[in-house]
Amino acid sequence: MSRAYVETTVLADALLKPGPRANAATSALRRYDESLLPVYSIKEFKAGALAKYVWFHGKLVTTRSWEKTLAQLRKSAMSPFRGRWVSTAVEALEAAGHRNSDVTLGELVDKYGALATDDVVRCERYRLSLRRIIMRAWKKRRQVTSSVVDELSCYPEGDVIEERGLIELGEVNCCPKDECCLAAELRRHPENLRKMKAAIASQPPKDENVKRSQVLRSLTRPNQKLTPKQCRHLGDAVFAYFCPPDAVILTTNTTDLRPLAEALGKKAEAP
Amino acid sequence: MATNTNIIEFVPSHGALTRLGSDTTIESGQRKPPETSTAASVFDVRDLVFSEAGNKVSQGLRLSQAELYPARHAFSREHITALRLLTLAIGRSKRALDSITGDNMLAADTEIQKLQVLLPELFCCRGLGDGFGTITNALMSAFEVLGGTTPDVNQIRAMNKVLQVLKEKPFLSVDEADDQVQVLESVGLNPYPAELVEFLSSE
Repeated sequence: MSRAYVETTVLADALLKPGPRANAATSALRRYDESLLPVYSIKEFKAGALAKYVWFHGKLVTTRSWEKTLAQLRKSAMSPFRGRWVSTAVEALEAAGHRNSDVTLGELVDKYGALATDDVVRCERYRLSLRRIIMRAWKKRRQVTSSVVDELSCYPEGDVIEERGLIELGEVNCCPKDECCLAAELRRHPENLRKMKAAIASQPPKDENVKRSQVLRSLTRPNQKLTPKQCRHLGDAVFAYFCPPDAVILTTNTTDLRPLAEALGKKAEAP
Repeated sequence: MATNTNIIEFVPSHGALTRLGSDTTIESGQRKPPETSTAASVFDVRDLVFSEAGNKVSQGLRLSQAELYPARHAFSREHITALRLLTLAIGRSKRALDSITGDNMLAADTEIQKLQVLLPELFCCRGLGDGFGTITNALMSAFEVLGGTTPDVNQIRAMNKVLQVLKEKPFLSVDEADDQVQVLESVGLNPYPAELVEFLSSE
């Protein structure tokens, strides 16, 4: 029986990228007899990809202007979308803002005022679309796979709500009483932690690898508590460690995950 | 942003106003019976007593602020416009289906074109609520993604059904609207602006 252990990137594709990306993700999930979604994926999904969409949605709500939102997406130092500004996707987005100034719209502006200007109409259409994508993604998060596994007792999944037009994600971090609930299980196999640390050492020295390596090292030391921040830094290592031996880690980020998985005799595959 | 609630049926406990029809729509060329003429004629504020806590009490009837709110939009200019446009759009989609049955694809496509050009103005009535805006946006996006291709029979049927729901419940909630958008998705219509989807998928 084939089993997939679903990593955050695949969950995000399936839920947040309607169209070819979502289709590819869901088709990949269907290839396996069983698909397992660890709650750690949901945690990363909420704090990562979903939070980016919520930020984008919030800009549309607060600026009430597509042009102003676009400027924020492009220029703001905190914009999670800044890196995309060289892609053709952005050209499509910008072009769409210029092509709808047709006669019909002109007539509507005469009749309905600012409510019908292309800038406001586009802003509202994207806001409503994003709102639906976000709310549906959260609602469907536990339905994309055949089962949800590895519940996290210290993570309050909470709910996503709308308040004053803005989407409120609520708590996105773990709230452990003492330390992260994964700590005890991770410490049961220190040799695996060392193997993953060694695998990271052979990878490019990027920031996330450095942090992950530090957390793995601290886990092998006595009297070190695993904090929520460290739990977040573990990231890919959690999937490599907790993936059942007979399952495959399904991820779009095979570059980072494969070395960790292979260090423990496991596999990572792209959809 | 408008609250996403629907008109509720208000049944006064006494007085001459005794019935409110659930259908808030206006059919062209059809007179409505006096007792269902407007929401305002039925909603008798004298029936309401405001308590110190701000709760409205009327002989056992309690309405929340959110439940009352749509009354402000009921039969406003945008409500009337929306009902008029929806009546037209439903008629167009019905005629398109009839034309397909009669094997006249050109006539069907012409009707669909006429339906499509109603949507931008319909979207201008989105002050009725985010539910209304969500459905109108989905229909606009569906046509944009089709790129001039005539929707098939199932897709036109789905549009017709969704437009009818919107006409019956223009103040529908976002969750209710979501169900209708799913109807469109189930027949292969894309409810999101294509350029937005491309952007979101570009990472």
